[in-house]
Amino acid sequence: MFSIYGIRHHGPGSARSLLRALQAQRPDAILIEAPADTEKVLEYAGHPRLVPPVAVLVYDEKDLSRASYLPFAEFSPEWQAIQYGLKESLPIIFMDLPMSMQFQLEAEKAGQLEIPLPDSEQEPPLIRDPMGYIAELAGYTDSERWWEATFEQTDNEADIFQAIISLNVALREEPGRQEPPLNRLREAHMRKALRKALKDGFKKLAVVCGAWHAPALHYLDRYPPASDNALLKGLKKSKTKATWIPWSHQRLAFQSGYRAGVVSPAWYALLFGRREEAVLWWMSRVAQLLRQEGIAASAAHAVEAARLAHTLAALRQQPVAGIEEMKEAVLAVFCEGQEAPLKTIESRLIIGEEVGEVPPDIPQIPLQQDLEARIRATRLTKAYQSASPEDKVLDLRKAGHLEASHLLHQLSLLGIPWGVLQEAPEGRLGNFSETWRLHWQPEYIIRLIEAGMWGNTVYAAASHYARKRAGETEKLSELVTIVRSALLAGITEAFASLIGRLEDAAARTRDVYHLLEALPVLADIARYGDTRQTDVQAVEALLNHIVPRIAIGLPGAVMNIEEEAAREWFPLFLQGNRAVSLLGQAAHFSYWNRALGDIAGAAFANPLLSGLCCRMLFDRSLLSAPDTAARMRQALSLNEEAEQGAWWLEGFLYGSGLLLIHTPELWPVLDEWVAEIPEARFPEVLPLLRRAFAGFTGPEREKMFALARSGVAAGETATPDVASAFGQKRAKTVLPTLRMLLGLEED
Amino acid sequence: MPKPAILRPHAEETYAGELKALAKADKHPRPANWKLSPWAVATYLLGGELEDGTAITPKYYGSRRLIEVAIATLATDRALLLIGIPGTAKTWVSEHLAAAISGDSKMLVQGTAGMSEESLRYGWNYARLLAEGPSEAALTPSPVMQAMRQGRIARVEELTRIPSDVQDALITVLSEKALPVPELNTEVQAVQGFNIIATANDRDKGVNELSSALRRRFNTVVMPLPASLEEEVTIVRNRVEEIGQALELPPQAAPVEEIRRLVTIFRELRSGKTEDGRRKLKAPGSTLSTAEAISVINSGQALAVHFGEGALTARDIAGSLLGSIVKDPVQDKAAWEEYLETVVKEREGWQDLYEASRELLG
Repeated sequence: MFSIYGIRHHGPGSARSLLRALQAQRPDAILIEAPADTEKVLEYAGHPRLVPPVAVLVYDEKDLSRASYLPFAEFSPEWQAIQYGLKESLPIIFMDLPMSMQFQLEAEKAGQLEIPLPDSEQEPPLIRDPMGYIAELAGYTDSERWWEATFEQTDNEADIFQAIISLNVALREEPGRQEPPLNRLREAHMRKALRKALKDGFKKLAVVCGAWHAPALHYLDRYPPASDNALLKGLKKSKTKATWIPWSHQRLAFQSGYRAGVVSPAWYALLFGRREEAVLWWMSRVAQLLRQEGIAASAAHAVEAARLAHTLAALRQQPVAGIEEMKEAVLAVFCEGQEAPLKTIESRLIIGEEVGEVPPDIPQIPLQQDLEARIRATRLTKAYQSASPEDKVLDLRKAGHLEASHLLHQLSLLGIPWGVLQEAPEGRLGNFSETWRLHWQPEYIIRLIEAGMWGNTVYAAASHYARKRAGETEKLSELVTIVRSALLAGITEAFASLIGRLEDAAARTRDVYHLLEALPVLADIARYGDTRQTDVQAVEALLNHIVPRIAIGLPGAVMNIEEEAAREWFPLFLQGNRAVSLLGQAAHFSYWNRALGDIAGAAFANPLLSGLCCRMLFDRSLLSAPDTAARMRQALSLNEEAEQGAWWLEGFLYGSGLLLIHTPELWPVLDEWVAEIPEARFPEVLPLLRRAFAGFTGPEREKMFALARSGVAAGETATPDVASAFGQKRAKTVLPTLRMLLGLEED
Repeated sequence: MPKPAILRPHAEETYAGELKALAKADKHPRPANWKLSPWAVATYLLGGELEDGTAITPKYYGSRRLIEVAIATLATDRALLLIGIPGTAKTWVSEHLAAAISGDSKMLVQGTAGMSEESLRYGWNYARLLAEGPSEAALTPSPVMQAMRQGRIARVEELTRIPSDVQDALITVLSEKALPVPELNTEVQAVQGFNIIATANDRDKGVNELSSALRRRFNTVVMPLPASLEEEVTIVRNRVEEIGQALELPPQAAPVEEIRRLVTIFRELRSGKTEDGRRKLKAPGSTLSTAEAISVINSGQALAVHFGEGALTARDIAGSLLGSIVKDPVQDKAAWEEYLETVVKEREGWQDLYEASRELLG
């Protein structure tokens, strides 16, 4: 004979009832609603180091995008049933439709699932948790309370499960409802497994399944075996593998997007483990968490809050306090009515921080083993096991930290964003420290398994994957990104071939824009690669090819372009200029400066850029002040559009206006030009001029204003009054420290 | 000569009928010395209908949960602290809680800045003290001491106005549930049913923060401003009707439209934006509580009855509206004027209010 136990997935009350019922029944075998092809994982289910929350990961060996998770918490009835069965050495049978078939069914459906979801997420809420549905109808926000109120008072466990069957019979018989096809298949499979178990001679079977399925199994006689078999006939299978992976309370929580999840895993764990004292434990946790936040919270607070929660529950005629009562009690007793302190601990309090554990001797793919070994070697184990994000600052001068940085970069190259770099100014490698935010997500395991096809160590996989991606693209900018991440990840092995690809692409590209885009990155690599102990000679060689190519193409590329395009080029010029200075090689300078000279002098170059080039040359003292003044006069005197002049000025004055004040030759040119603009045109030019001058500091602008008002050329009268260009008082505050640093006596 | 009617009877007198009916219908367990069960107290405050058909009028409109937390607090013999800005019905709730739980809301200490410990503990009848020396008979107990003896609820109004060292006299009362009288070498021990409801204002000038030792002995409930326009209109309308009866103003239909308009103005100025959320407004410094709205309508009604056309018009409320919004002659006035010009003027059907208010501003 058999007994059907309709349970709530992740329902602590349900788990307690089930355990009591099993102890009363003393079955000779247990059937559990879990995919039949994951039964192999049972071998490890009794392992002392397998600590829930854990999940069974099932995946299609050939197509890793088809994967599914079956999470279990300590308080999941299925988990308790498994543990009970193992303890009593009973045969445990997984009876649900194998995932190997479900994957095939999904594949046949049009439109594949993009993200693998836990199996139960695809079920409508009614089927997933009919009891939750009834609780909602009964006006409960927390369905576990409904369970408490309805079933926990009953003495006879058998009555509970009988009641659940009748309830679900009623729900299933709602007119107009149709069982979804997948559900019919699953139930057919479960019945088939049940029949087989009966035939195998078990006399006292315990069948643990979701409450919804209880009637479909209980009334076994109403379903002819032939039609079940016909339904299941001809279903295709794919080959699957299953293993245990660690899960977390956070991932069990409904709020994290797991639709079959529960609202408060932390509370449910207490309800299961310490139902009689759950409120006390909860309040003690509140006190601890608040203290961690530096808020005064004593044991006395916890006592009073627990009492208030109990009284509130009694006032609302509930047998035990629920999350709502406890929240209100915490607010009134701990937080003096203010929401803010509660908010800071709420997610840790309600969801909980527990992370499961999987013993290392469970077979893993080699890549996973390598990853864990390297995590241990780089001392990231704590962050790996933590449920909440952890920040980690790495000093790249230390070998261990560099190793950790390499590992994290290798993982992100493989599409496993365990660490997210917090401060990464674009294109800057000249930094000795990195700040990472580490947050491991259980589903990264599937990506890791996916990455397993690229190699058996993280390093090898990242290296192969980078080369594979580089082989797929011709685009210079993408290649540069790949090279950059390879450099950060310390994949020196792949470097030569990546640079080779880059060189090919650079040679083929006609687009100077992309070359110029790549220049700063490459320069950074060449200059700072040493920090990361990378071989950079190949990059230097590449730069020797790229800089001349840019210099030759650049003047042509910026002739006759619109203002909008010129503004896109503008930052590239600045970065390129910085890169060339950074490299500090005479050959590069001469190419680059020649290009700048060409643009500065070309009649058809966009004035914004030619102004900028003029400035860059002036800054390098390649244009003398009188020459610059002549250029300026020329650019401004063009008797065409005054706006062209304004653009030129904007480019020329980019960054600082002191130039105008300190170079006696320049001011009068500007002064004259402004004076010559016809009054009718002036309003047009004004906004452009405004833009050119807007970036200057207040003192700079004041100084210019004074110059303009006095109507004299700057150099004639004024020696540059540096003193007024900054706040005297503020400047003086640093003097004592400076004196100390320099070891000077007080004067 | 007939005895003139009491201007404002206590809650337990005004609602004696309801309390009696509740006590009769109440089947739930009652904490020691409570006149009603927690369930019945909640019903008394929040309203409902009893099995025998007696309708219980709601005394507090707003979150049921707040009231439940307050009642549960008192049932756990922890003291209750109601905190909120003026006019959020703190005193109102405390009076009704005391009336429902102890049947007596008169054990009241009004907190003031000049208060001494005697008002919280006990004083002496000096004539007797001098004549007979310290004796039980020469002792004048404070309301708190009386409440301890009788097992009732004592109310401390405006707790934060009381100087801090005087406040701390409550610590022994709340933690030991006893009040020592060293002069007589004795003490008064609280009887079951004794508890304290304190009210405090967190947005007032010159408040004395509670010491953390005292604070720890209170459960705190923050009284919010009404959540929605509808809720606030209901509160104002019901209170206006009640007060109107007490002042014997001729009965007239509650001016719902006028109340709605007024409450809208209050809410908008309070939150600094229009109800539809489209426009930002300058918020005046005045509190603009619901209680304030009630008094504006009341004085408007009195004006209408005694000096106006009988029915409430915009002209009648404009005066007291101005008075309640403009507390600071410069900034509040600017805020009000801006509100008049940008919102009231353009709102359909508000023309009369605009003109009346404009006239008063000069």
